[in-house]
Amino acid sequence: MGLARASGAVLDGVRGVLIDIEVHVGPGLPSVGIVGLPGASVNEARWRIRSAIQNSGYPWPDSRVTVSLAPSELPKHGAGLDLPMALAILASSGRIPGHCLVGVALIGELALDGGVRPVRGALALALGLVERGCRSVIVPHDNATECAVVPGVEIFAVDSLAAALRTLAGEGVPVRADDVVHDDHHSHLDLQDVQGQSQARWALEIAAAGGHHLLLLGNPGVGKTMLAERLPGILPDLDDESTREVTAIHSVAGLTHDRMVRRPPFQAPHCSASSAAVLGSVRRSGVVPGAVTLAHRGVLFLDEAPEFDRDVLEGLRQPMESRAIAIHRAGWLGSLPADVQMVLAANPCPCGHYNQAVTDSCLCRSDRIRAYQSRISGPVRSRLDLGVNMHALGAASLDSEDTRSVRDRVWEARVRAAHRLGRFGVSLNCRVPGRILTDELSVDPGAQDTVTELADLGMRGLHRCLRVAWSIADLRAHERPTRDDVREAVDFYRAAQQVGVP
Amino acid sequence: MAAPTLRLERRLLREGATRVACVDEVGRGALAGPVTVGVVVVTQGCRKPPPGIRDSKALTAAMRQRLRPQIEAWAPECAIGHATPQEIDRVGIVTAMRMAAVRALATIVVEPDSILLDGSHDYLSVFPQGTLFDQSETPVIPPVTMVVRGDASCAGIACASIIAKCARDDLIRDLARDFPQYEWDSNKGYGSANHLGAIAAHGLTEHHRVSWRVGTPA
Amino acid sequence: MTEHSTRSSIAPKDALGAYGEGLAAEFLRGQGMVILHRNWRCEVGEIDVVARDGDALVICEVKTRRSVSHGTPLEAVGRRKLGKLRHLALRYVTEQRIGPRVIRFDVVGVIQPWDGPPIVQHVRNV
Repeated sequence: MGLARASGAVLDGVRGVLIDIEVHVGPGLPSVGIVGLPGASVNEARWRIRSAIQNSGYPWPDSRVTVSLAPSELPKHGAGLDLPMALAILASSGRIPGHCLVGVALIGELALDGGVRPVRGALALALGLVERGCRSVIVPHDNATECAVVPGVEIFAVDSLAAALRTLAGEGVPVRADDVVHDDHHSHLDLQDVQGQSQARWALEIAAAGGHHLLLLGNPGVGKTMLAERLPGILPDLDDESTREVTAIHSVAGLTHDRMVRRPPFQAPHCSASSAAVLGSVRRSGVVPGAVTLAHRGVLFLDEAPEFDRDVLEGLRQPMESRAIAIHRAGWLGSLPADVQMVLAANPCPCGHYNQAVTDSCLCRSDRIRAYQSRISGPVRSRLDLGVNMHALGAASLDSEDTRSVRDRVWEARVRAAHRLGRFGVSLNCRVPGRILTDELSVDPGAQDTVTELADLGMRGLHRCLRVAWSIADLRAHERPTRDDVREAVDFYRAAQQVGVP
Repeated sequence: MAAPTLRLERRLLREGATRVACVDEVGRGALAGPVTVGVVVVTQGCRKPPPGIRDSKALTAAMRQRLRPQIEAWAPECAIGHATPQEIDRVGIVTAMRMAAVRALATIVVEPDSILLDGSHDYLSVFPQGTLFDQSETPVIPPVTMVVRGDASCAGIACASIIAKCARDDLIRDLARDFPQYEWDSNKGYGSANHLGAIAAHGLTEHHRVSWRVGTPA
Repeated sequence: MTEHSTRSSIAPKDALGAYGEGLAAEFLRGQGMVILHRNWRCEVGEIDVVARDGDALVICEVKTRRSVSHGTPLEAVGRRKLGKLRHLALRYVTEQRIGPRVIRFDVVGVIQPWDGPPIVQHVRNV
């Protein structure tokens, strides 16, 4: 009799958080009190747990039961704490030894008959537990495969409260994940598939090297979508922390259950998608990540960008600025991660016939064109670093490089950047703060006068160009951006900012 | 504005009173420091009050200081009573004012048989059951006559307000020495901007009325 | 325990507001809320008080006045100000990386005359 402890987990947004459960069974009229901001399902747990315990052949304690959930100021939702709370209650009333719950965490909802039901986002929960040092986790049978991919932890699958007890007694066998499965490198999309478009491919490479946002302009069919889809392929693998983050997000969203996500994710919502679908939404059961969060640490591609809802484009301003998105709905407010690299594709004009080589090819009036392009709102557009116009192929072109070669170059460029930027606490050119750009990183002396000519871009525009210039310099293995590097960066920037047909 | 006179005091004396105690308070609305009550007794034999007597708020500090000894020489009896911020916190401002008045009246040698009180709220006579007074202090309060704006019309009340203000200002100046940041020398404990700023920056002292900190939710 | 800032002195024009904010924080604490932040700033503006009330996140605006001659303090919080508070709340939640919470916007009005005790008005969920 007395105090018992167990470990469980709940979701906070898209993160799994370890919950310390303390149970005290003591003198007083029989009752169950749960403290620590339990949500509705957690509060209702007392009835599920009581039934489950009794139906598993154990008596329910005939005295006052107090359950405390820490950290107390985190609201707790979902029924995944049923199983650890039940075990802690059994330990507190002396039915099982308390020491068997040490170092083990449990996840699972309890059915009234004592069975264990799966929970949403189990992988995210397991990841959260591992981060806090849990080495063994007992999970519902149906969540076992997904949790088994988490490295560094033993997963035990149970389908009932009784099975959980047996596992705690030492009779459990860990689920084997044959090898921890990661995404494969060899996605079927290769840059080689894109013919010609050397300028656009170059822009893609620069964007990849520095993490810059890219605008692709061109008529339908010219290859914008193909190119955008191949950006993730030339990006390096995610590091361990990002892998955990992204896999957790995908688990909460109910996506892939059988692998840790090593490759940068790619999301391409349709232009008719709602604000909730792109930016995310909050429901009573928890948060539902939108495309921008599902693309966290990867690429968000907006094909036909001007056709997107105004609210959606406006809403993207925050992720581009703060690398997170705050979603709010009906009295709920929360923030989700949204560190994405954006690629926007658009026709140069509404009619889709604009051809630079042929005058009068486009039937649109210039004010219509301006209005169309202005739908990519000011704050979003001003954050686009590179723009490129893609034209239909003329004569047959040279062989295109494959993804592998480009990816290797991008990797080398990133290594150079990381080496240079390490002391400032960033690793990508797109993240360098303006002050550091101007005070600490100077361009080639020969490029200085070019920089001073760029006063018309404004401070922010100038900084964007400089960051891109550094990415170009890294790709070309220049110590510092040369005059040509800077000029090229400026051309790309102006192409992204220009409203109206070129 | 005409100078205050003894007209009302003399009328009370004609109607049967022999010693009229004129009562006024100062410091009721301050955030720090005591609330102070002044009492000045007027009898049949009083001559004209010292020249220049006005309600204390209409005089400069120098004028008040000059008039104080003159009042003390002129009046048959004068008295001062205080209630501390702690007492105000404990029993509320109205009961505290009564405590201060009772303390002042207790030091008067020959008991007055009539009270002339400034204001519209008689905080002296009403004596609710079970107050925090101990039994020995149960005072007998003579009949109270209220005068609205009495400090401007009745010389006796004006004198009471002057000696009360002088006494309180002296006390406050002493307290200000230990807590200069609050600038009580100038604001006398009231809610001036400099006092509020000091409270925001440094918090409260033992001389602040803590129960007034989060006043009455409206 | 009284609430006060760590600034050694406050400019006279800010004194009334600072005093009112201190009072409001104490009042909210007395209502059982936990103060998370005071004067939280970003380039969009400032939130006077961020607090937790049970499981709700409370964004609170404090208005202090000398009297109600120019309207009550609560009347000074108009639609525009509320819109700005919503915007600030979004920024706060993003920068502090706070997951989904029930959110509430409150206003505390303080009337502190030169003479007399302060009056505190609290409106929940404007």
